[in-house]
Amino acid sequence: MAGKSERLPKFDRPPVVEVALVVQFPPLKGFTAAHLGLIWQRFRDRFANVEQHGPSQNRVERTGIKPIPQTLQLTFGGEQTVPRIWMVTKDNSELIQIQSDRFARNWRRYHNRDLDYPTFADQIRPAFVKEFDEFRKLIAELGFGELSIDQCEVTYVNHIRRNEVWSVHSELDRVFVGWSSEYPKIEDQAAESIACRVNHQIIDQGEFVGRLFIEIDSQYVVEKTNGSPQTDFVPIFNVNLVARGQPIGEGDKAVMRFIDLAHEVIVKSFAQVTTKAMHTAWGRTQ
Amino acid sequence: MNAVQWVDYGRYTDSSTHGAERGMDRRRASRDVAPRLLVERDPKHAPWMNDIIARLNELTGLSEDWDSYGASVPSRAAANALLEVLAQTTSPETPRPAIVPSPHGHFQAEWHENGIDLEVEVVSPTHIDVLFSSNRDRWNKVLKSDLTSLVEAIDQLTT
Repeated sequence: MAGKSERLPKFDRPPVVEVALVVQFPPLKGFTAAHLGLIWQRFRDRFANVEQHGPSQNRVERTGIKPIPQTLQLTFGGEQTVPRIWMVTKDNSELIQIQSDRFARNWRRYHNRDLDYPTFADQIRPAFVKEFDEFRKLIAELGFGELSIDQCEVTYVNHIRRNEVWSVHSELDRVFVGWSSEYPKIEDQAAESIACRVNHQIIDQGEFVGRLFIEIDSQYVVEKTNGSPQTDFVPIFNVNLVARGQPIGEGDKAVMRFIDLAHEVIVKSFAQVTTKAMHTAWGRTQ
Repeated sequence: MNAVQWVDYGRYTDSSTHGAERGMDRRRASRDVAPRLLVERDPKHAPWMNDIIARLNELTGLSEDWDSYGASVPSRAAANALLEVLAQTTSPETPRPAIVPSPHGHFQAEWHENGIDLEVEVVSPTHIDVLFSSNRDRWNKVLKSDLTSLVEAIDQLTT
């Protein structure tokens, strides 16, 4: 792992604000909200706070299928939906998400921009491995048997703040290589908001294993400057990179093989789709 | 009464907490469907899709040991797994399959048309057993995420 990290792009001041590592599995039969409480009890010493949310929708990446924009899912009437819980650390920077068919481990710094990015190799990956292993063992103890992982996912959320390189959203070409400075004003008006979506397949040793989703949206974050009564609306580009796909190979290492590949794809592609001017602003060192 | 929801294919899931903290839970919107079976015919999907949904609904109501040999109840997750595979691999002109529960709690879709026998058992979203037999060819494959050969086999049903 350390060897692979040395070849990937590195930045002194990466704009990443959240990283999530996720595994999906078939819904645990008989899993209820009571089991969520038992799980929180096991993690509560580290994740003291808990929140309840609706469950996330799981997806399976496939290739060779019909090019339809939507697929179908059946929801069964009378079925009680088991919620998703977030178990959150006291400083609000780390959390585990649990639902009947999903485990996610997140790091984030929306609430505190001064937090340093802890790096994938040094902290994010080992924390996921440790806590997912703990979760698996607990699930087995609770009588649900061995988890069978069918999809894995890595998400990086980046907030690219206005700086010396760009100042208004119509200057997306200064941030993203896929936008052009030749994009015209319409009726003398520059673009007010922009959204871009790009997908790529992820191939490993000649075989389809998943997809990379790149989403770029012009947004604003709300901030208060110290000592000022004014609220600032600071323009940002929210850049999400999500890699989702199947475990690679068989056995215990299959999940981490995909997660490591997904991390590599995300880090390399982020550097490829952003401009050299922004790399300088972020302090690219490799 | 069950409901069918449209799920955007090709979007990522919201593993991040960004947006959810601000009360923008996008996933909630997709759950607000009328509690009825899908009745409008979407030209992208085969006309028998409603019938298949009704059949899956019926079969998930079976009891344990429904075959007197210890069969498991077909699960709702298995119903969704089969429905998704059918939605992604069939065309409006594909003949209607027969839907059969397996004793292990899964579903199988079967076609016996034009000299072709095709059986598709969706054991899980990433384990699909396919048995194909025609006058010219016979094969048995386990598909994970590349469904090319399944789509090609289903397309042969209409040629």
